[in-house]
Amino acid sequence: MTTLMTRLRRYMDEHRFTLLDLPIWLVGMAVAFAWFAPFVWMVSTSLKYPEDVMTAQIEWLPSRITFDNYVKVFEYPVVRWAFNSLIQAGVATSLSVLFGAMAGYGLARMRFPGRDGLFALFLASLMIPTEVSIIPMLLGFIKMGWASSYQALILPSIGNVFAVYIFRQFFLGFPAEIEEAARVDGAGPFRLFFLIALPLARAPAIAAAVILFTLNWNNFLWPLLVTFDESMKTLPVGIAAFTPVVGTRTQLEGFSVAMAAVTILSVPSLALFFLLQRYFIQGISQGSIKS
Amino acid sequence: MSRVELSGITKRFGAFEAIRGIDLTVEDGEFAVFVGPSGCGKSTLLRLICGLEVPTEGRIRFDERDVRGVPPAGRRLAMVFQSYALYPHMSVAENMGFALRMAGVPKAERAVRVARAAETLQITRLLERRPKELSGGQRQRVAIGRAIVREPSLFLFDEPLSNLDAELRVEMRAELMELHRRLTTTMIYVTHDQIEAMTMADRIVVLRDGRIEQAGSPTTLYEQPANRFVASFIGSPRMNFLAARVTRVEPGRVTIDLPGLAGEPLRIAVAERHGLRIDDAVELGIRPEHLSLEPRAHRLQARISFSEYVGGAWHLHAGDHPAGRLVLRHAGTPIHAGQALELGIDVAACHLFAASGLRVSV
Repeated sequence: MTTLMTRLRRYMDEHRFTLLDLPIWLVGMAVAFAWFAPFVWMVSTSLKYPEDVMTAQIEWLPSRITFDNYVKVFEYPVVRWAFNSLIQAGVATSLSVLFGAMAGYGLARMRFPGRDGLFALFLASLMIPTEVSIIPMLLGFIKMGWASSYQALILPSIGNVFAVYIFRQFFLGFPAEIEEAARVDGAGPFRLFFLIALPLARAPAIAAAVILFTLNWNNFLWPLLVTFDESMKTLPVGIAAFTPVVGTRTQLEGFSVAMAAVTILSVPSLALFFLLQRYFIQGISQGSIKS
Repeated sequence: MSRVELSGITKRFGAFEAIRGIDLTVEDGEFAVFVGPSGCGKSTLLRLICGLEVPTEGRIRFDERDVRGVPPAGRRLAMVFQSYALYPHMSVAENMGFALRMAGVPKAERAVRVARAAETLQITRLLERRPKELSGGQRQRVAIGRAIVREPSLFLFDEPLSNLDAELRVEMRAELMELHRRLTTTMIYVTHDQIEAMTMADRIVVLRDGRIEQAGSPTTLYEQPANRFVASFIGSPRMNFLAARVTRVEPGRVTIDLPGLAGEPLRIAVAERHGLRIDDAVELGIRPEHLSLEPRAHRLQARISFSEYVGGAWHLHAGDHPAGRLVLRHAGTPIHAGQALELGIDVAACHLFAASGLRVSV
């Protein structure tokens, strides 16, 4: 006990942790648990036998494990849906990061009349609910003959205000002397952006990419409306059929298969976040602190 | 080679006038230093020459060619920034070769020119490193290398040594002077450090509030300052200014009454059109080295308030003299606070400033 207390005290000293920090720490832990518990429940259920899912006593961890649920998920065209999702999320994310960086750079570093008003307009567009614009947009795509196509899945997502915002905040703090040195060296606006500014914006680019990829990967409503063929469905639309509603696959296979499908859906976003976590936090904090 | 001519240059930022009608010519091959206190407009003037700012009024010509509308890259110049402004994501070689790459110089030629510049600056071993892996002095060398690799007609330096420690600053100062001697290219250098200005310049341009106070060689500025501002800005410790009053006006000279003066009345040779009248308030300017402990015809009584040892000499400060604060450079035996002294004045080296601030002595 004494050893434990000594180690605890040493830990608190090393991390400059005082008793005043304890309530903050406890609230943080509670929030973290509230976010993490459904995830654990999802993964746990996906590994259970159907008869172990509904039990009188809550079983956080399965008493016996099976991967049959994952096998059953793959009996559906999940790979095709995942491929569609990857194309849709990958291309839309890449383009929205690129365009967000260009717009953010222009709004932060270039002087032109109405610049700040334009940025305010960008931000104001966040107040328009998707539902208001989605039907006219759908009709437009159908009229152009682009329904159930990759263009239809990708194009509405290539401009993102959040990406513009995060890059603008980064470029506001960009050293003017580096830009001036590039101008003296003979770089015009495009070469200055692509050769100097963009390579130095790795942190906001990664932060924007992680968030936008997650948003695009999980995007449900638009792909649901615009894809009419099974082969063009994205993963969220495809596995929606596993939702616990009468007449869906969940009724046939049980919750454990649905949870296996959702677990598969969450893997790419999580992997991306964990891989790029350091840059993500750097990018987000730059965006907020440097403003 | 480049001769830079500024005619009637004015720069306004909104209502603020940063540069006010400057006329100046920097001759081909000259090392000109713009010096002045913070906010005097020296960096703005450099940026106007560079093309990073556009003059509100006036004309800039390089070798008789009007450069209005010509971007920085088209002016055949190179600029070294205060923060070095190296591209952090590029190696030293890439940094140095970037301007050549922008100009479409083939890769092989780029490599040759970068290697040659690196050899000149003794940074060959650093070529593959990134800027973050370099010390301050090495970064400064790379920034200079990036400038010389372009073989420009004009070098612009914006306080390039201000981020270096004292020892390195002296070293780099000597290297820059050597570089100028070797390249014989026109160089314009901005600093707020008058020691840098005095040691490096062929010509110093002293600026205040967007105007040129005086332009001339270091010796001219030191020995014949045009006005009180230049006299106080150039020289360390700065010149002593003692309040005095004109008691007699004769052709070619005036007699002044200086509080606390012992010995003969002070007669100062003045220019023809000095405009002084009896009873006018004036200031006598005496450099610290022109006061001494030797007996002279004109003497000031002073009590030392503190002394500073500066290596080989002492700076003696007397704060309570009735005519003003006094500093004396003394190379003899130590003198301590509280000692009363009689300071001899070298009248021939004194300056007289009218109430307008203009120097009227010759």
